[in-house]
Amino acid sequence: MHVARSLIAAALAAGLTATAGAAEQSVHAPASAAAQSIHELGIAMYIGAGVITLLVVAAALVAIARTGRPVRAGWFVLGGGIVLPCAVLTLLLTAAIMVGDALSRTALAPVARIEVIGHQWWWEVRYLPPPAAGTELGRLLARLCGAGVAERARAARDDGGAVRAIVLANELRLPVGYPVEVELTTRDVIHSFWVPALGGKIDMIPGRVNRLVLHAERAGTFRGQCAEYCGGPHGLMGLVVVAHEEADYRAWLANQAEPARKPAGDLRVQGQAAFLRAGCDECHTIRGTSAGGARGPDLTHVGSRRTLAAGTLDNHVGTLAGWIADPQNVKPGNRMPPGKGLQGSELRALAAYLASLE
Amino acid sequence: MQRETQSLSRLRKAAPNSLPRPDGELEALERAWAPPKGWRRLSAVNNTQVGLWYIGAALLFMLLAGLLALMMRTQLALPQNDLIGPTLYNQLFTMHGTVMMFLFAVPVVEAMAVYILPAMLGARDLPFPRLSAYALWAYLIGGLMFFGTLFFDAAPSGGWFMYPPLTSYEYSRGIGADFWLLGIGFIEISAIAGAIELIVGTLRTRAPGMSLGKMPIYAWTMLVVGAMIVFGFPPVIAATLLLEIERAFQWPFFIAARGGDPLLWQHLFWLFGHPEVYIIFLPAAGMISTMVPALARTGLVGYRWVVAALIGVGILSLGLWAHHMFATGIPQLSLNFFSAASMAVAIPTGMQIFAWIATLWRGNVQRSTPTWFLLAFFASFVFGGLTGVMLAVVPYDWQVHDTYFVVAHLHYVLIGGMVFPLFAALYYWAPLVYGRKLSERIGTWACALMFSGFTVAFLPMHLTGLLGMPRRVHTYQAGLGWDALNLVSTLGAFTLASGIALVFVDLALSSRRTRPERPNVWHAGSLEWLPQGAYGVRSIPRVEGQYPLWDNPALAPEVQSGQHYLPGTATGARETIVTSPIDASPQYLLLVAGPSWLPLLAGAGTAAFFLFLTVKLMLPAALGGVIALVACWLWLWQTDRGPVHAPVDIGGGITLPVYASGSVGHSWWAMVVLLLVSGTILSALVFAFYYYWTIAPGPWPPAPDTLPAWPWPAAAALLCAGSARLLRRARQALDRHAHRGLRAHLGIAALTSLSAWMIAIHGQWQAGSLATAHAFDASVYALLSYQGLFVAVVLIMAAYLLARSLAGVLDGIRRVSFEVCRLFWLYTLWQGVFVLAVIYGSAALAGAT
Repeated sequence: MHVARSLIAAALAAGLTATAGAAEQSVHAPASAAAQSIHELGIAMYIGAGVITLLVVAAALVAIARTGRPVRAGWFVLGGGIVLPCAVLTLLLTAAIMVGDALSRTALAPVARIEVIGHQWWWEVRYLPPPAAGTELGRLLARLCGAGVAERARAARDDGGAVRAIVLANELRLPVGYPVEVELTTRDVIHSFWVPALGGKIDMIPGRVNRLVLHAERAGTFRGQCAEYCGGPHGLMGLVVVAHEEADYRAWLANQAEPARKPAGDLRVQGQAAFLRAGCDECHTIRGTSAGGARGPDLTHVGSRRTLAAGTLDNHVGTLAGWIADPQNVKPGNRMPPGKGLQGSELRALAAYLASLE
Repeated sequence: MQRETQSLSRLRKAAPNSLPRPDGELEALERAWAPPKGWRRLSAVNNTQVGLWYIGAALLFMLLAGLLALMMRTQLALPQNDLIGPTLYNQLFTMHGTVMMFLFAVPVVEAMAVYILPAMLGARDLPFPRLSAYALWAYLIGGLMFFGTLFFDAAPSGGWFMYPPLTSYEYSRGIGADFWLLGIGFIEISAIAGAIELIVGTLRTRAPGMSLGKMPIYAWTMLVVGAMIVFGFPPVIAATLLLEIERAFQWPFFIAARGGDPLLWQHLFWLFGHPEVYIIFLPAAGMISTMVPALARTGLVGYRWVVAALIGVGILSLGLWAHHMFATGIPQLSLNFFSAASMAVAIPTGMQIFAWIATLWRGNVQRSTPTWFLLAFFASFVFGGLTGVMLAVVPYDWQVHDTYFVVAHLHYVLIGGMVFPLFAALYYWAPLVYGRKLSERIGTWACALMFSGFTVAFLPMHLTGLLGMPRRVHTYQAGLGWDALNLVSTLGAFTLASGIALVFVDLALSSRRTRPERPNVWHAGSLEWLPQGAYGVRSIPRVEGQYPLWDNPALAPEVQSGQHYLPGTATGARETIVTSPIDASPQYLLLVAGPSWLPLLAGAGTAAFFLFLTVKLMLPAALGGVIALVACWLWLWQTDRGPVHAPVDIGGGITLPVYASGSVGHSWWAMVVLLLVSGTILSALVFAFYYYWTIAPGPWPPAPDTLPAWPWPAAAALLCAGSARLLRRARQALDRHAHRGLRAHLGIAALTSLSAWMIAIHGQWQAGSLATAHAFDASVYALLSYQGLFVAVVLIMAAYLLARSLAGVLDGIRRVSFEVCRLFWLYTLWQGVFVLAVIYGSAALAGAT
């Protein structure tokens, strides 16, 4: 029985991924225990639904095809309409409550807290300043990140206020094997945070803080996307989640805690000048420079990100230039103003500078 | 009750009237019901005419919304397609959903009932034909204008669910959202008018002898659906009122920063939205319960179980709304409750499905186009229902909520559960209109195309959703595994559309070959297959079982020769028999309203009022409002004609009066239904008021010093009670035929009602409470404003009654107008006291603790 079920499950999953080609955003390519349990529940339900549909349609076909025979109303109406669904639904409801209950409880204390703030139409990801040293969370985090990072991050918070935190856009990095608590809020309308490989979605609602624990169990890159219609280019509000092995994660976090690299070489120096001249700093922050705008994404390490415009473009010098030149063509309706009168050479320099911010 | 119901025991086995019928009887009947000719046809109000227009209008909106779907499928056929940008795409999916739900699905099921139900019940017409005509015109004119916004880039784009804050003034600055709120607002009015018509029609105009236990399942369905509209639509009416007020005047009902909550909208919307699904599905189920026995040539198996299932669905559907909100972060325990309730709906639905299969099993099934559509229904609806059960599983829903899996599910349920049965019904009942069946060949092809197109379009969508594609996206990235699936879905959508087009070709071809007679082509057992003229049946049959045409094979000739009740017109006007609600004993003769331009005028005025208001053209809006008001006034003036004729012998030894006042009257019943609607809207507003209490982070009320001192509400409540007392005096004066006393009491009562309201609102105002300050104040003013609306109607009613009294058309006998207005008036006064108690009582209690 168990073997048969796993075989069918495997076949279905294979079918799903075969159609998929890639399955970065598939419900049935789980990378966490939460997503795994929903994946299994889903497979069991597809089989049940398929069997029941076939039986009912077969009964209807036979009923139409053959000439009349006496029926016992109780057998049909009570058996088919009450006894059968009651039995099936009781089983299903029990399973559903058990899975739901397991998912809403977390076995381990989270090692990090990450704030994800929904904006029309991008994600602001803030690694919250670490808890004070000496608390249990603080010790866990120190073990995970190395004491130096935590110290520097705390120092950064103390001297500069809120904008000095580690802030990413449209990208979330997690350590494999550790639960991470994500605090979900919104700056404007309702959005919904959803990374299928790691589990279900939860809405980001004005006036509320919703929490979700993400617990990646294998390294990899997973895609997520806003799942609540938020107007305009809602369809282009993607999110990349990268789960790193512990050592890689530690290195990545240490790098992100640093301020932005100083521009090296003429081209990049010109690029930085263009950044300021065109007024990009009104909306964007680059830590370690005078740019401190808060309306758009933090660009301190923009060069290290996988995508641009919330999962719309791959990130490299060329796409950076294209995006800055005509953002409304790439993602119609988004809040980034076009061009800003940058000349071709300035645009190239600016793109080169931003790409160097790894 | 002096007009005691006639006992059924007096019915004899022989037909109630004897032959031959007097000369000129049929001709007089034909004259009374003769439809207006030429361009005057637009003034027709008869249900067979209005019903057809109504169905036609609903199908037109289905085609229009379907075209929008094809545009969307074209855009989604390829990844990163830039054929349609997000601005237009968002308008397209908003309009597709809104038009399909509000302008197609609900109207079409009401329209089918307007057309079929009276014939099925043996009535000559609905009890309020002009109300149906009004509902049709308001809906058609308003609906077309609403759809027209697409051509001016002014269409709403907040989704058919219109979640704030996206749809509030800050994030939707154009007038699109206002069009949605006001446009849908009066389409709700139209739906409620329809519901009143159906409830009163089903309960009070059944043929003599058709007790509840013999009533066709379809009538049961429409009765349950009517009740569901009464309780299901008010939350969304309240919600649209609140959101429009927030947009227009910045009262912060849904703004978190000022004590409001966007989730309140979701609760109110889905309190409506889920019953809505069953308001659409149950009528289809009723049609299936009618077609299956006729096609199988045997009675429905488990009639009582099916009735129980219908009522069960109706009740359960009001308790499942939160299953649309599993991902909002509401507490786990309540999720489990809603999960269980959502699954439980499978039980009554399963009972119906197995009752139909058992009936098919027992009978010899006629194989014809309706049969094929019913097969398509079984295959798609059962699967759609099961994916619905999956969605009720909370953790699973966290994954697939708002993905294409849900798009697939809802189209399986709505197309499978409602469109396929509707097309089966079109083919099944077409002979009533065309005098012959539609083309079997075209019908079979259409069904095959529709079902295969539907499957190719929507079955792959389940997979698309599982692979992670969210809903309501204007485009998507290539390489996520969605590309091929989307292309296939688009091909399926066009195939489905070609099948639907074929049905319309069939309808067009058939309309040129219409025959006058209505043959019982399916050998069905229900009354709508009796021979009929413009007047409905020649004589109203005495019903002895669930399938009268099978129970008495001679019924058709008996009815047609005039051997049953009321074989002519007794008063020379249009009439139908009103019977008691449970056992259908004849009670009195209802004089049915004839053709009139007033409903068309009132409908156009109402539509103009709402739409000009939306674009802030105040003068034309006021003009529209005045036209609507005057037309309604004149229209009502012609009603309540009093006992214009001596009691009438309808045959079988039964003599019926032609006028009834008090709780036996049909108008009294309609008013009671309207008050149920009003009370439910009130409860939605009271729900909002207390909801803010439950979510308040700090003290509640937030600013107690901006509440009036107790004498203000106390004085207002006392005045309400005083006004009720005056109204009682007015009634006593009417009993005594004391006209002056009546007028004086009416006038003073009106002034007292008005001053009660003014004192209440002034008290709140002078205490320094501002509606824009906080959601608490906004909800207080919302309750008081709602009361103000009722007081305004009361003032109009008082003026109307005074005018009638002065004109000499209101007296101790001719008094239905007074009784109906009095009912509304009393409700308004007690609503006022209740509102004051809720606001100031709760605030005082909260302050004390």
